[in-house]
Amino acid sequence: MFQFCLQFALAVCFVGQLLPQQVETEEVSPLDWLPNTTALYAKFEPADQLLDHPLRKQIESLPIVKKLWDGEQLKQAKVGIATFELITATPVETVARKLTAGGLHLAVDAQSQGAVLFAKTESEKWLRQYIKRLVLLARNDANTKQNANPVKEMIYEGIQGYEYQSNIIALMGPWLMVTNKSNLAKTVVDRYKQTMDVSMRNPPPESLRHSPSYEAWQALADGANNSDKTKLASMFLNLDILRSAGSAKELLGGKTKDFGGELILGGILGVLHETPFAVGELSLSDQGLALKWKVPNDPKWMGEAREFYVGPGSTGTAPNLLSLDGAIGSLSTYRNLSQMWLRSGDLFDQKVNDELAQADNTLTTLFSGKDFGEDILGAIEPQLQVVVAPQAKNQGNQLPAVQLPSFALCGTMKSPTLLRRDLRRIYQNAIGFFNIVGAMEGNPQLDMESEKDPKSEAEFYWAEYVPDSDKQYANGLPIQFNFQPCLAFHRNKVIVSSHVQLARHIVQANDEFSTSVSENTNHTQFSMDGVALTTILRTNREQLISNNVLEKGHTRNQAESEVDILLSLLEIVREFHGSMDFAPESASLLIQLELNADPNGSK
Amino acid sequence: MSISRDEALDQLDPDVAWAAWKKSDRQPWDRSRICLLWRRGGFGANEQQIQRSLQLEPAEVVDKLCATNDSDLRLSSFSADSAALASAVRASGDMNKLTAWWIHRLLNSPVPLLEKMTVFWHGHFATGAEKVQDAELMFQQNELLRKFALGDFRQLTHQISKDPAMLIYLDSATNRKAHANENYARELMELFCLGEGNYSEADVQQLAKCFTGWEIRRKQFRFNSYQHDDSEKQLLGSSGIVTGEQAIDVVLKQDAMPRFIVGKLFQFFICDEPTPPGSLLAPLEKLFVDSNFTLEPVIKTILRSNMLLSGWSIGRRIRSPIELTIELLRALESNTNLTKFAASLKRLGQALYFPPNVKGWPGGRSWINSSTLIGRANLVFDLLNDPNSSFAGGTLGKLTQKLGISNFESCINWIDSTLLAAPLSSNERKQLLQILESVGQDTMLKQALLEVAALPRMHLS
Repeated sequence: MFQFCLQFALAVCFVGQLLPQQVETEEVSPLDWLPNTTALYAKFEPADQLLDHPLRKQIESLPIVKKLWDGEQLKQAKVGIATFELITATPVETVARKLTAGGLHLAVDAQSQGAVLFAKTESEKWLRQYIKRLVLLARNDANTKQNANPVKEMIYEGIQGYEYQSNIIALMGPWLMVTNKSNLAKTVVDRYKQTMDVSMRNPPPESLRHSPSYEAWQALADGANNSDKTKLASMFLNLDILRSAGSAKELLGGKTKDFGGELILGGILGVLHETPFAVGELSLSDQGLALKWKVPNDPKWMGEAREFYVGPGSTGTAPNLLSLDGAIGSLSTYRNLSQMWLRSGDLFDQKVNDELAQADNTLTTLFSGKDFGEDILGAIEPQLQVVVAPQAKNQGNQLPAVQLPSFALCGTMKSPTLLRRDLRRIYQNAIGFFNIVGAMEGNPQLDMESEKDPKSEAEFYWAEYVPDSDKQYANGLPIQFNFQPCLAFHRNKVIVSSHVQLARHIVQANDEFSTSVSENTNHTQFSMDGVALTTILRTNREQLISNNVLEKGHTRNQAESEVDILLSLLEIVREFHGSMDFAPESASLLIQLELNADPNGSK
Repeated sequence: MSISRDEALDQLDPDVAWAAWKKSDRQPWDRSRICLLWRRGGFGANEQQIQRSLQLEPAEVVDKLCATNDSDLRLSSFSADSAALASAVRASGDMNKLTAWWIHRLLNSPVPLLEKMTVFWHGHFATGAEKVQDAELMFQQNELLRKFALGDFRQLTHQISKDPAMLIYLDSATNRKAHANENYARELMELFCLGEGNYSEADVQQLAKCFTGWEIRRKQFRFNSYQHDDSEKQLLGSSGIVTGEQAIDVVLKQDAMPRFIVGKLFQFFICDEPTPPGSLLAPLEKLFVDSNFTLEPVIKTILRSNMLLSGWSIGRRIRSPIELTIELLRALESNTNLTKFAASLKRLGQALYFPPNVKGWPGGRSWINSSTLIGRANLVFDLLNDPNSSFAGGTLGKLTQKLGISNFESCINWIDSTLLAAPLSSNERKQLLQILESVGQDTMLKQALLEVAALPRMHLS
């Protein structure tokens, strides 16, 4: 009995010793084989997850997709796939499932400047047989064309490898590895051998898993549920390595060269300049795709100069999104324009500052002696709303040859009574100025109108282009006719819009918008309606075709086909929306793509 | 009767020179002669056009080159596509796109001679978009030049004189009787119709007065009778001239006019230099006058002539950047990123719609200098490597197969006979073969084209 107990205890100890090692062996992955100089690492879930997703069947059953699949445009691609399946005697979908049975891993190494792809296949046996068949096919094809043998076989450290078009392919058990750099291939194979050797208990210390940022990355990514079945891929970008390698200097250097770039990207670049890494996650739910990037953040990184972008202590928040029926897109954000204008000396180089000083003088003149940065921009709160909507058709039967969408910017006035009068006068000056310049260049003239809505008490001031009575517009009205520049006031809100109809729409649809308090905590929110976007693009189909012909060298038929595919694909997108946040510890960007997967809801 | 290649211009018999060339055992209607005709009468030929031309008589090929009949299905389909493209480009008002649109026509028109002559008249009645600053006006002028490219020169002159882009370019937009602007009057005689030495300063002043009151209002020509000097003027020996239209007719009736125009056509189609003697051009001048100043008969005569097809003219013109590149792309059945291509032409000194000055592009030797020579080879490299470039709808490898090019020798032969005016020397062939042996069959055509683009003979027409 004692003997048995001793044997049992020894056995438990032995198993206990073995267990961690087995777990480690099970978890061995490209993280252990990749060097710690890896700049980008992404892990994708098996293709099954994508192929068996309910959304796939819904999308496939959409009339647009069926039409596209059965159409002429994809005929060549379908023939290519069928030929490949015939030659390899395996359906492409089966290959995708078997090839990625254990997931896909993609990495880019900064030191070797090589990219490497790992696929954990269904089995070592299947992988060997399949690769062997492909090699044979490539050789037969070359032989038929009287070309040299394109595939070179090699063995390194007992691992079967191939060289094809300067790429290295290695079969490491059930793992397939493909890389464009031979020295990276050697590094990976060496580490693979080390981790697979049962006599070695620890994976190589210089691996990605042992890099200093890996733990921090895991900690930041821990918020995400690892067992989340919607997750398609997780990504890690080592920005420290990219910065020291001199890559993406402008993006990671934190500086912009122009005013527009700073206005749009300033805060993002401020974070990217300092943050050590970024983690991303791609997920697929029944509604669609979502991509989230997260980076460590510290409000100090922004400095005072970029406080205009994130607000004091990164606390700036956006107002609610303006929601309008049929709108193409909407954006709300925090941006202290006055602060940005006045701090331009800290943000830009001498050349840009000289240009801004010149612009400041001109604008101060145009704005009747008011200081543009302090008196005009400073009179508007930093919470801004932008909305883009389809063009209103109000030019009788004639439309502009190119139909641009309307857009509007809404802000809150700090002193409405004072600012209204100033802005009205400035608006009149601006329209007069446009008319003088337009007359000199033979362009149509603007006719001013104003209106006060008795119900909402909103005031609208707008100007309308007048077509020349003696002129024929056989090709449609000139591009200017897209605009009816408008200035509107509604309580403490000011609206600057490219078209009066949009300003009216904003006031009508959002009668409460001027008084509502934002419940939003995001720094920026945006949304775009796929159907509205597709409609405006369809309206300008001829423009898209001409651009395609001139820039891609296509024939008209090819261009029509490509544009129509693009428009059909866009119709699958119901909505594209997202948000951006700058919390004291981390900053994040979320982008969501909702798909129009309801066959009855699709056009 | 034929012309020897070594004969000097002043020794040539004009009747023999302009007589229609006839094929013979000594001078067969072969590939190189067909390519010469397509180069001078268009922008080169692709393999299909070469093979079809071999089945036709030279005169039939010339007729095809000049065929502008709208009932031709290919032409009407091309015209519809081009009009749709133009409509979208005009709506954008973008000069770069307008340039790309014209290049699209140069590359794809089934009547390349019409486009070639439009380029010729653009250089002749030179108008620069940098001053006009209006894509729509430049487009309208371009359509006017195309409409009369092979037609009535008198009508073309009358209409270009009222063309808004031209009036803006030559400062006639506000031409008042108190201060007549002499720019257009001077250029009409010196550059457009008569040439230097065929008018006096007094004629310039009188002609300028005839054009007073010719204005532009809201981008359209307007005659302002209040600003017109309606006194009777003396011009080029004629008296009692009052209006601008009458004055243009007087200019067009000058004996110097047909000589000047025919001389420019000779330079454009036959040789850059030297200037031909008057006696050699006399038959063409007579034909121009007899045909009521219609251009097509004169151009057809030039294209069918011994002067062109006997071989005397081979290599006597330097290809303009447009000719070099469009001929290459047409031969390779290629399409590419046209907006990028348009920008590249600017670097080689021939930006369409942007002639250097009112004299247009001087052409000839001025096309070539150390900078443009490298630029030309670089542009060929860019065109062949642009990811948007397609050849016969696919890759250069696909075109190689389509052309039946199976080895290095046939690759060099195809380039030699299709793209080069003067054949490669045996030494050049040998060097080319050595280079090609170091590359694969898939890339031999591309490599050979890149090598040939660096040779001086590639720039001769």
